[in-house]
Amino acid sequence: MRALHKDSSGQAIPIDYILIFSMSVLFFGIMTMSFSSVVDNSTQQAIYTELKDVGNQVSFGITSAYLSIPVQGQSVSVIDIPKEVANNAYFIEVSEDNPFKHGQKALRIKSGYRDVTVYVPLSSVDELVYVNGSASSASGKIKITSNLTGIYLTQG
Amino acid sequence: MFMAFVHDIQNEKAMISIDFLTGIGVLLIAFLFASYTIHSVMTPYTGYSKELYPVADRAATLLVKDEGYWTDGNDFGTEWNTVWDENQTYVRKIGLIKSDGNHTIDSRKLNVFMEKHDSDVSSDVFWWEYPTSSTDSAELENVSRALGLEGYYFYIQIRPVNESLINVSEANTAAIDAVGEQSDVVAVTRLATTEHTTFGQFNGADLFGHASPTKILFVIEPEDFDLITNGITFTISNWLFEDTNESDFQWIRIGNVIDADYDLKDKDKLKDEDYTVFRNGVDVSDSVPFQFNKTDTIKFIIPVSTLDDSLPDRYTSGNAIYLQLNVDSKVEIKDDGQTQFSSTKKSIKYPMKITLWTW
Repeated sequence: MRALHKDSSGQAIPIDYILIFSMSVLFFGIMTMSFSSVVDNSTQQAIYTELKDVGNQVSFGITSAYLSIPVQGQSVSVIDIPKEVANNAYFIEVSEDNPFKHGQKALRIKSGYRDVTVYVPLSSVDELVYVNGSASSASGKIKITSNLTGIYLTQG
Repeated sequence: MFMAFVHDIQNEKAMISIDFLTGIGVLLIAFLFASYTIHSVMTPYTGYSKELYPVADRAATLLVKDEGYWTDGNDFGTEWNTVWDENQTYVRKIGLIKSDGNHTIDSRKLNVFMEKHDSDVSSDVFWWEYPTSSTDSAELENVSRALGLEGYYFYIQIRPVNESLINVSEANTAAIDAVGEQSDVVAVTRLATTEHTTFGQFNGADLFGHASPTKILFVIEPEDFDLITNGITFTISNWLFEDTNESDFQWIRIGNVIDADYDLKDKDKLKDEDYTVFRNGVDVSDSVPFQFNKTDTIKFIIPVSTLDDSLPDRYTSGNAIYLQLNVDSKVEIKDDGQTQFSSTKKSIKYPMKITLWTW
């Protein structure tokens, strides 16, 4: 090793450049791909977590709306939600497509980022009252209207 | 110049930039380590407990603030406890609140699916848990669905706020055994008042039936059937006797149709092995007929298996359940008629702590 280190007589400068260049390209390529993969996974995870939070916030709003349904007229509450999650808008709807239980409804929150979709259960509130509606995150608000006929989500 | 280049190419000695290679290697390792570390730092955000809490919170809120709901497709109502034994799938939502608007927990709804434990201190105070090791898996599935906890594991314990009224170490051990060592588990606690209803303690001076010969008649109306989920238990004390201190107990009949003389038919008579009877706490089932005196407390236990044999359609027929005791004519009753089981209903209110563990 010492002999090789001290011996510079056989070093071809162009080969050296080619080697250095190739290895640099390889290194930065690997580095870039690994980093973007980590960032991408983390972004997806952050979106998933944030959308779960938003979904749980809306689901709790629906539960509260059910527990305070007026005997006459209607009750309206508006929930503030983030307009964007990780720079991406999203869409909330009450969906029949429930991965937790077939036949029961769940909140489906879909982000524009790589089709990240999150489901939040309604805790069987839909067994007690009709629940329906949808809204986008554009206005940063969701309106929950409840009356004796049901609970409805609309744009706030 | 060209020759020197060719010479250099042909010279195979020391062709590697060792310092650069070492640097690249170290950097690569450092980068991989950094990537792994950054990813590990991100991992806590994927924590399961973060999404568990809102689910448990909503389930606990509905449990203590809602009455629940049942429907068979035609009829519906909030007294889901009355149809639980008939068909658990009718129960769409379990809520523990009474339907009288007082926002108290109905112990009858607790008793339908939760295991009740007696207190060491007071006969009127209990603690409840669900599920236990003996819980049927089909029932657990129905309870999970009706609680809105499908797909999650859970354990519920309900105990008095004044824990000195129960064997708290037994309750704690039960919770530890049920929840165990879970990595992601959330516990949500709610406070509420429970109204515990008991019935079946009769005073000998308040009995009706067939006056001569003396046959005591009890009636349990369908709205109280959920109180007899585990069978019918009742006691009679302070007997009224006519000019004597001793009488005989002979037999019990059970049915859902009585005639104009407040009598059940002879085919409705239970066999001795169909029920258990205690005189002052001593099992005298094998001694029927037996003598008793007016200061004795007689306790009858008719198990649910006997009810299933004698009255298999009791939940769907809409008829009341009648019980007839044949005693010696020396026993005095108030009048011809029927003794309402519900007349002995007694309600006790006390604050409770409801804890729901979810994982």
